[in-house]
Amino acid sequence: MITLISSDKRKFHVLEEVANQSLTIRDVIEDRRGRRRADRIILVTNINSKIPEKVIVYWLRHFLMPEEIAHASMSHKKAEKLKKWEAKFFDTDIDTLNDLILAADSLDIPSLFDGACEKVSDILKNRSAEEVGEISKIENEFTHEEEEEEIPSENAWVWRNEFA
Amino acid sequence: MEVIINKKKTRSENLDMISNLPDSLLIDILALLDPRDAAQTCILSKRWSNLWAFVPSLSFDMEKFKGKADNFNNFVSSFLRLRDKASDVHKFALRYAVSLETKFSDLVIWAWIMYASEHKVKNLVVHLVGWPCHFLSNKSRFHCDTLVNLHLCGIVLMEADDLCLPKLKTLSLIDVIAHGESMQKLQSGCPALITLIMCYSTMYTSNISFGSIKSLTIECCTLGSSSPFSISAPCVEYLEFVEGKGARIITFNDMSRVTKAIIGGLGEPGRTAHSFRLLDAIKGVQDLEFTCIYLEVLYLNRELLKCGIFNKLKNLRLGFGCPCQDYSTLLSSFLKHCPNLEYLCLLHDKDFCDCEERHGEMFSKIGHKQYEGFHGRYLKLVTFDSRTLCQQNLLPHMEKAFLQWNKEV
Repeated sequence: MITLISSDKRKFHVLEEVANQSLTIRDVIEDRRGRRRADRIILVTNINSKIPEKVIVYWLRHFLMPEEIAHASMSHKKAEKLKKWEAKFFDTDIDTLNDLILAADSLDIPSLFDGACEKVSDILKNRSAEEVGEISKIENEFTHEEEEEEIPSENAWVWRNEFA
Repeated sequence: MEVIINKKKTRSENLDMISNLPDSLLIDILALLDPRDAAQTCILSKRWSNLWAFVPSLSFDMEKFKGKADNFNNFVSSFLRLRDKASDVHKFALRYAVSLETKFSDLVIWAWIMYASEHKVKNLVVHLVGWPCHFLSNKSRFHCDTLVNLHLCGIVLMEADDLCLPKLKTLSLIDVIAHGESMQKLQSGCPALITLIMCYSTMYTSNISFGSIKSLTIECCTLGSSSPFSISAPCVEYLEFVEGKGARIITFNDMSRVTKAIIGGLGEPGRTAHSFRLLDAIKGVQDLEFTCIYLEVLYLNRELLKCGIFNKLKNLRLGFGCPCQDYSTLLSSFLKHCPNLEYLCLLHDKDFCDCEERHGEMFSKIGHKQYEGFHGRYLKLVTFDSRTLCQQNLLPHMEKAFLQWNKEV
């Protein structure tokens, strides 16, 4: 059993086999093997407690359904179920997704990282730049002239056909 | 005992979240967007104005573009000209609808492929829709040291083509026409090839040998002439063979190393015999999926009698369109040949039949070991699964293959 501590000091106890899905944690545990019990505590300083919760839920779901199932006969239905579950899991606001991406990147959990990135890109897909700016609350620091004149003319080729 | 597993991050409640992500992660997200959507982010803010130029994965899809061919050509050319010159292209995917209007743009396409090749492309997808074009255009030489995965769709390969791809591991040919001995030349130009996938392709050749290939998929390939066609691939461990409608007879040599195989076919009257004959060639198989939509039981019985015992077979998936009355005869003749079977899965086509009751009967027969000649000593699990067994419609299949491939890479 290992313990993760989030930035707001909440503790999460996880089975080592489950947490091993994070390559970073796996390496840390490997490095400390054979040492004191206190070393099984991993401080995840900059992630608030909401995220470890989600990450652990994700781990548990994947732990119960390992990717390489020995018997292909079983995998078909289960894979479909997992897909549905993942769609629901990632159906969340963009802030949480960003935190998940950061967590997945630093903890090195490839499947979580890909899933979250895909979801963000789905949100941004087929939207105008203004909408994207609004959704992701990006501050537009261009001056009025830049916005009206220079940028559109420099980048005319990217606009929809009416400008091309 | 304290490990800080993260980069520094400050956060205030009002700050936009997405800008908290480091550039490298933003680029990863942009890589998942359509290139035009990605490029449009340049007006979001100063930080974003150049991010798109570093995206290493480019998927240009003419159908998504919804514009004239000329506009698409301009867009792709401008994108490639303006993107960051020093950053590599890991993946370059192009889906191009060739019509009378665009028929002569193969030189343009070739220039894009060369751009990708100069930028160390690892995964290349060229998917032409509507009009088969000669891949190499007027140049007949394509040399790329970095290419690992190549996916060609709707392309013509000529015998004179000279492809030199020393690192190529996976080659998919979908709806490809290969003239003369172009397949053989392809093989010699790609010495590291491990996986070969051929679907709905036409080969004008009589025999091919693939020395290095470990995974071979041949699905619904028609062959340009009527003489039999033989494939030898001594190293193949994974074999997938789906017989197409009216396909030329394919014989397989040297298949003794196959451990996992998927064999399927429509099972047209009078033509099924040779897909059964293939069973004899893969006797060392451990994991087998065998599906047949219109099955001729007599043929199968006769071929199975000839073919001896699958001693190593542990995992068997059997699927038929569902001629219910024949199912149990078949099952019994198959089971006789699999003494060490551990997992059995019966597949049936969900579009074909849903007579659950009959299947229940068959189940209970297995449970009570009522199949003659099958002791079921090692049997651990019997399952039942319904799915679509046969994709008879050609185009949706290709669409799926393309999407799947795009996702995988």
